[in-house]
Amino acid sequence: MPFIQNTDADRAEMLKAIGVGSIEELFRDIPANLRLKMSDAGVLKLPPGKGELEVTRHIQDLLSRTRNAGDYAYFRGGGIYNHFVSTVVDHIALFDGSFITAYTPYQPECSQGTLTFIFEFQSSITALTGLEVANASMYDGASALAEAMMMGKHVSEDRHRKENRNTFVLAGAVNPEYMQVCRTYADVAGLKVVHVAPGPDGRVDGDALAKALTRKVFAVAVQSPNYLGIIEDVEAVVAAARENEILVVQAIGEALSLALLQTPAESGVDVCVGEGQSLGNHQFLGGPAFGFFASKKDWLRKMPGRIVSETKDKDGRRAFSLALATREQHIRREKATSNICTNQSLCALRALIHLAAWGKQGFVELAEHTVAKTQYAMQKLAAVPGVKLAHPGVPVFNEFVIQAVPGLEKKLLKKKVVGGLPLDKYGKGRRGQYLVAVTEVTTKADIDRYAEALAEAMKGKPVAV
Amino acid sequence: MARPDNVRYLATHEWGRLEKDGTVVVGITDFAVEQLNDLTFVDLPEKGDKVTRGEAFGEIESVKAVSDLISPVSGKVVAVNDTVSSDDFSALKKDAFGAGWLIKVKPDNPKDLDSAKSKADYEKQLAEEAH
Amino acid sequence: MQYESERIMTNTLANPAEKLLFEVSKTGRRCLRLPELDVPKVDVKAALKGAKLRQKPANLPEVGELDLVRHFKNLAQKNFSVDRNFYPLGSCTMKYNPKINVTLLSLPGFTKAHPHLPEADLQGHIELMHTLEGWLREISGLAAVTLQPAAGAQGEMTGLMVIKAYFEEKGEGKTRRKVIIPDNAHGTNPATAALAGFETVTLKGKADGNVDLELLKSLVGPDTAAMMITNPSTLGILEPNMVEIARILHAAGAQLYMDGANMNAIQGMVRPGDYGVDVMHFNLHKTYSVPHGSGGPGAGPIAVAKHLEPYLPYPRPMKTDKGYTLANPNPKQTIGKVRSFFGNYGALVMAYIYMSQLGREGVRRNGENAVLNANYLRARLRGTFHIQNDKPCAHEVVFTDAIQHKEYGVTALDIAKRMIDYGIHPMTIYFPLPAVTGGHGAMMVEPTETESKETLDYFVEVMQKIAAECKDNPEVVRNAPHTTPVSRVDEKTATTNPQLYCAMCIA
Repeated sequence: MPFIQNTDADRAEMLKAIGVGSIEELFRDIPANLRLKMSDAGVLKLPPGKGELEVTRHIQDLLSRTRNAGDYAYFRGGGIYNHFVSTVVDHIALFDGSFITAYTPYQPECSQGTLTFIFEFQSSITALTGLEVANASMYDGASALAEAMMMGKHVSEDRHRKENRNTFVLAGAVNPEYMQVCRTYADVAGLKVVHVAPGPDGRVDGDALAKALTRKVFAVAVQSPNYLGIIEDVEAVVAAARENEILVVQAIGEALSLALLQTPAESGVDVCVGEGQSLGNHQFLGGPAFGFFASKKDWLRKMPGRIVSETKDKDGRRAFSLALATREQHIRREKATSNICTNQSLCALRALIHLAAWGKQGFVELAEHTVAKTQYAMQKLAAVPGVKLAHPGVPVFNEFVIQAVPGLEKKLLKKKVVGGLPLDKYGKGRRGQYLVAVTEVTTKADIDRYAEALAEAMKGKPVAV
Repeated sequence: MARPDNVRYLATHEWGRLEKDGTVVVGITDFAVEQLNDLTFVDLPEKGDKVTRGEAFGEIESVKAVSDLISPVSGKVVAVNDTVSSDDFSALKKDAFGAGWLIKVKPDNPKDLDSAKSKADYEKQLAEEAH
Repeated sequence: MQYESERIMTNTLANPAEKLLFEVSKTGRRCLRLPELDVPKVDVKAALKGAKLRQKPANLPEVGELDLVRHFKNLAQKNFSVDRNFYPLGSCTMKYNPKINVTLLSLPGFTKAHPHLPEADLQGHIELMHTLEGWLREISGLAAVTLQPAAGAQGEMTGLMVIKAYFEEKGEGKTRRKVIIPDNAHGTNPATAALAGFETVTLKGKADGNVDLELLKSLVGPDTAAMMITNPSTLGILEPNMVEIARILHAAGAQLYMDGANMNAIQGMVRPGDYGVDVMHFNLHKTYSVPHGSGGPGAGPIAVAKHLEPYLPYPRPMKTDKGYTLANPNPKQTIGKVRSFFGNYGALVMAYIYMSQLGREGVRRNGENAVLNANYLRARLRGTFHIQNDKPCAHEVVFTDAIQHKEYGVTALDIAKRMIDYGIHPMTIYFPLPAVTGGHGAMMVEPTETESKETLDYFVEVMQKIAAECKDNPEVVRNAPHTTPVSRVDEKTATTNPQLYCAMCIA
């Protein structure tokens, strides 16, 4: 049997030591009529097992019925980005069994490797966001935002004890996946989610937001860069939330933007969450990667997820261990503020390696490189007859929206271009709009090919209005 | 530590003592302090808050445990031990029935305390739990 | 002590004073460089006009590639892992993670699979998910599966959300407020129930670890939404009355949720759906060899009975005449989404690869051997350590420190730490909680099916030796471990005076 080392002789000896005649006897607490019989081929309708060679062939066969971002000039992001991942990352995180086959570091003496890298990861997130407290990571950006919402509710229960605030506001163009996950969590928790639609320039509508931020609101979230790629004025959201003591959460979909943009700490937000896939994690159809979660230290004891702290061993040496465990479900049980019990350690490790491999200066250059390519792509695509920028004059990082006409995808595919993501379903008035993403992987040739294919596809189409 | 006779005890290891001014001082027993071992945090109500007999008025935490603090009386909190509430547990460890008190309550009904255990009954409970 | 000194050699790990990446950082060092810029250079401030920029670059470490690699290889040596150590951590199913999982996962077909690719380009991926769902349906004996939850805890959440949506549609959402949970349940169960907006009711277990049916009957009523049960239980025991439990709940119109954390024991032996279970979750990182990754990522698919299928999260992989598609077949009834896109797809791929190798017989044999190995340890260590319930166990066995604590003042924690000196990762300790184990410190051992008899015999030998040490030389146990890069770690200071980042990261 694959992966089982006991031989028949071993099994016989072990059964004798146990004092039973057969393995079946160990399962006597399962009613006989429900017990599946090994001999009844077909009872459990699974295929017979395959060897390593066969499985490899089978997987290759499955993959032959797929194409990936590498097969195209690729311009889709919307939460997951086609970035370069250094070979160093896979060698350490995937192929060295020391981290990937370890468990949660509950026993610090034999888990200093994991605890140290989580501490370094937390430090990296603090370096990027400026916020003092970062946890060891969450499932993804979407659920990290939902957890921030739940935390906001708990903070408000303490801060505004008798007010029973129950509304969570999503300000402007937030990733629809994030909004949906927040709504799913809010539904069962009995919270109300209010979405304040973006203004015509694609940014937060300040007036509408101001009206929405009443004393019924416990927290407000703004995504920046937002789902349309636009950099928001986060400080303005913080200012709007101040009067009514509303917790401000910044969500980030493209973590590379942290290299250049005003930090969440500088903007004054309370909590920053985001998707970390951009940092050294493969695309994998959207996961696993990780969500990051950082906060002002005021809210440390309400924070979800695992946290590692520096401490000492009993001989005074530097050591690391899990901290503040009483916040978590395994101790607080039904009173826990989150049920999360894993983190995405391995993905956080990948981010740490990625960030260190680029380094302080390299990470900035990577972002600047991306900005230059994005600017070029904007010019090229907006110059295509019949196409224009949907939100001209607003700053974007590495994504932007073009206004063209619906239904261009197939024509682009013929030219080996996966163009921007159609936004027809994202909101009213977005018919014919496409969200275009650029990374360091995108070449000038890719962009030129996209522009050319787009021009051809647009021939004879009515001009966008 | 000799446990005082002039306080009433709860099975959940809190105690309450009726003062001359009619208020009730509430704390946790030396046994609870010992069981919780490495105390780290306490969450106490604020002055003016209401507490209810038999319900939690706060929480106390050690490194790997968290326990509710149960009130022996219903009433209004009139004082909170600032030393303990700022997570300094030295007084609580040294003198759980004195300097380590937690809150002072103006009880709605001072007779609430009568239903709590006497020292003898509480110590009998401890002996049974240790079996 | 010959044995031990050999172990010390292999366990003498890297220099404990080793510096952090931030501390070895030096301006100008780097590993990666960018391709030459093939588009016009831009002035970044001008290009981002209207946006506020950060005042100074993030203080990330700057290191060369050799030192970067060496840093992590040194850290690797400070970790116990399944690849290097026997890891009998109860409730966690630390089985071998085949190398083929990661090798195939690193193919560009997976690493560069972007979720917004055209559906025609995802056919193989959707087929994989569709097939995996089918296998989990078959093993669970239930009608439908979603692979979306990112972890077991999120699976529980999804399961309770589905149950809630079902009752809401039936008009019983407001009345069915309670979820019954046995006192020996994992902490995630009550935490999930509370977060899903239910009131939790604790069901005290019987001394033998089984559910008290009379007590259950007295708790179940028209206000009950569900019971969450772990089977085999966290005491490592198969619940003999599952059918009756399901009957009691269904008679009151309530649902039975099975926490599948311990599914490794019964896979291929019994289908939870046949018991009458309505919802269950799988932990693919436990049962189906997705590596634990130092704490994640995992995957926590759930399986549900037919009446609950409409409420599952979207999108759902479907097979049609034209090929595979990702659909939202019940837009009015679905609970929505609990995670972006399709869940932890990379983890699903690894489970798929593993299950392809197991096949029908392999699934069954895994369960059998997991149970055999646990019972073998129970038999061999009888008399050395107190056994919480000395009857045939499932995939794990719960010992306690009752003898060692009472006689020699040595605790489960001490014993666990001493195991590290012998190169074995400690078992799970103090779970189930002392309240469930008569006040004694639990030591929950789960060997898994992938360990050989020789490894189990070595474990027995070590545990006997530690038991002898508890008697003859308790100090050596109380002060353990002695062979690790750090001695016992002060977890209290980590909590009362947390230092959560390296000062240099914001210097």
